[in-house]
Amino acid sequence: MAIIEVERLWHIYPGNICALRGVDLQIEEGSIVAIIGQNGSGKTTLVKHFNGLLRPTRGRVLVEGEDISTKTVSQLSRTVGYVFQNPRHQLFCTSVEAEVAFGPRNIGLSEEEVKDRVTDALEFFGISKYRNEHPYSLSMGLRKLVAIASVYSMHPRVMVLDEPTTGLDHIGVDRISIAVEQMSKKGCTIVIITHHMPFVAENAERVVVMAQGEIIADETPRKVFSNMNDVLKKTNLSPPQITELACRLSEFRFPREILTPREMCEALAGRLIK
Amino acid sequence: MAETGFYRKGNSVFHNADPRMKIAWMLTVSIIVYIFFNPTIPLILAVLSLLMLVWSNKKFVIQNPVAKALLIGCVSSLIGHSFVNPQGVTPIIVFGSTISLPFFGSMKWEGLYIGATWAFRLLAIGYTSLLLVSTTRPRDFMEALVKLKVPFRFSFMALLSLQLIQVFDRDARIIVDAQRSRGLKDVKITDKIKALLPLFTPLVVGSLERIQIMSMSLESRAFGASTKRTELREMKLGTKSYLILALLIGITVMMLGYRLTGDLNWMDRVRSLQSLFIPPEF
Repeated sequence: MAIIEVERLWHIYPGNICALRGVDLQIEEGSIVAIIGQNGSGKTTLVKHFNGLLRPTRGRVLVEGEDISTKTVSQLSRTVGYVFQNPRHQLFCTSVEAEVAFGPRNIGLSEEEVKDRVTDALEFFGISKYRNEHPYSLSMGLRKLVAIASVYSMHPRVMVLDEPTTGLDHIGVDRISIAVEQMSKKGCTIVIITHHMPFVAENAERVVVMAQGEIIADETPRKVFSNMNDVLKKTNLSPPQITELACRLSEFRFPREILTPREMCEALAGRLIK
Repeated sequence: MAETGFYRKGNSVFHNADPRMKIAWMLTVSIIVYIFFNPTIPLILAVLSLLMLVWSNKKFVIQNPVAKALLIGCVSSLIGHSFVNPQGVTPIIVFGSTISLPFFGSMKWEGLYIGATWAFRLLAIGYTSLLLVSTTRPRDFMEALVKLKVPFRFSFMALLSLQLIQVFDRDARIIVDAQRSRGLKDVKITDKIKALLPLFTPLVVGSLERIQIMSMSLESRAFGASTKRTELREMKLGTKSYLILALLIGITVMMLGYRLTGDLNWMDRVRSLQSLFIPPEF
């Protein structure tokens, strides 16, 4: 069942800048969807319609089967959580705990429920030991986790993560990967906007490729990265290096649909055993 | 998606004019609107500047938040002075009754005159300033200030401040969106007061971080290391520019001279909308 449905969505910014041109999209409940494309392709504009931050110029958006045109952002925030690219835009409290409690209080939960949600979110993301720390004193990777936890604590059914890996080192990216996996296991629908292709390859179940305000491909990561080089070229994006290597080795009858280093090791091991 | 900074590309006569001419025009307008105390002269100059602004970039006047803020300031001045200025004594009577507000009393002709004078002064100076910054490339603006013997550091600071206003405006919008996404309501006045902290803190912290990084970046590129700076492109005034400059100086001197002989202030004789703008003796 689709939790988000986008029908013939157009968005034109002031100054007649057309950011979306009749986009149709359905996001299934519980799925992990990555939206990729070069800067200005309309990714962020598209997802900002999911929680009402932007309103369609034409077309409509349905969340849980309901048209959201009459709903406010704060009403939609119970269903669609949006984590911004830069945690600096979101964090303002003097402790991680207060930061995570901010959202649940806004949606009118009782103090007891707020406490439970905070404890649950801090444990869920493994940041309990930082609960009394000032968010600005944490590393960028941890700040991003705090930002995600502060939205997750509202228990939205959909989590939109805008560039969750920007500016993070390998450990930071791994932390976000684990968080995505855990949220998905809990039944949360995840929508990720990113330029980080290895992250997409490892985490996404479906890749939506955008260019010039339109969806130009909507497939599994395996298909997009291994067999749709022309589509990727249009977006100036490259598949993960390991997939590129596998594609080049395909001349030697090597499987080209490899997404991760682990899969590459398994393929190589299989060959050696033969 | 919107352009950052005030400058908007274009090919109008104002875009191509020497920035020093635009600064001279701004100074002329600023002097003239302040030497006379009446709403007519500022209104004429405000309309003239607005027409120039529309000619240079039609959409800018509608889209720019500063232009909107100017209009809000203008209306506030008109209403505020009309009702509360202590110099107001003659009530405005419309169809036999006064226009009154609870706690503020009735609207007065003298107050309206003062309000209109200040409002149109604000608009005239605001529009000429917008004309300057929206049609002058930041680099040219800085170069013009240096040519006018303003120290480079101050010119650079002026330029940076102008650009940062819009950068902070963009940041503020993102922060509002980020907090609304976390269920922050901003419908009632109480909501808006409660929302100040979540909106204000990230903006201030972000701005301080940005300024710190910017200062380090400037210093690491030898900002201020040399007192003598060379210029890639020499800015020179042509004959036309000198003529315009002479004209502007002439008008200013003439106005100053006229001011010495009379003050063109008819506040105590205003009794109708017509006499608000035209002295009753005309």
